[in-house]
Amino acid sequence: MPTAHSIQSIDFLVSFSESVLAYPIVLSIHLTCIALFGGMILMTNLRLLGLNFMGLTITEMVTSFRPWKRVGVIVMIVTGLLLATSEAEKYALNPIFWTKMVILGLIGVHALIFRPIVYKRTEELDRSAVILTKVKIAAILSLVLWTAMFTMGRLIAYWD
Amino acid sequence: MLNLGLRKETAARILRYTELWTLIALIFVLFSGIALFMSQTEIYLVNLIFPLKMYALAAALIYNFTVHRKVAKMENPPPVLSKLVAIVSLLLWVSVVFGGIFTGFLV
Repeated sequence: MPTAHSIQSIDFLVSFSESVLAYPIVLSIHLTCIALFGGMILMTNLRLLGLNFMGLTITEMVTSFRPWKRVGVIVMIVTGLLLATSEAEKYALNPIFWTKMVILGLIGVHALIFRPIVYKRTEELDRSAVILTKVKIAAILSLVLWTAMFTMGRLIAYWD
Repeated sequence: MLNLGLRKETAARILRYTELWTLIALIFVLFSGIALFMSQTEIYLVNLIFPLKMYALAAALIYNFTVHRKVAKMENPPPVLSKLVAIVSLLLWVSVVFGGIFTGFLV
């Protein structure tokens, strides 16, 4: 993989991957972000499914976490890119990494489909007496996709 | 408690919503952690960082069920106290994450 080799040979990435502290610090930040971000996703989805936080409106849950989720995604992507490109050759040959990337793409598709019909119409959903099927589908798919994403992230390290 | 999210709700109310879920998750975390430890005891026992992670975990758990819980349940806690308690809680739990990662990197 000549491209992967040239990416990970960039001076900055070489020093990063060879540093005793930098790599684990960035990995820890990546995981801290996942813990915080995952918690917010879980809380929002439990509310969408009607399993918890029923005293709070869907609008409150979704809009309150939105700015933090945006920050979380940016930090996760930046740290993730740093971790992946510093060992590009290894990751390029790892099918678990590519599975994770496909899931990341599916999360994007989920956002494209459900943002206009669920996440951007929360006030309408709050007025409804029952939780609509499309809301439950959005929440379940979100939980499945993010759980799969975090699981693949963990499994990457175990592929030889 | 930091007043950075779910601002219309009191910390006490959010605690009531989350405590059962947190407890269930904690049981999973502890049991899976014990299973991982038992599978490679000899590696963990000689690791320099692992005991630090355990101290951080013990501190985070004790803090969570004492100071943090008490302040979160207060009806009108002083904002400074609330924020301070929340920041210490976040630092303790983040240090557990860092401890876990560094256990694998620094032997």
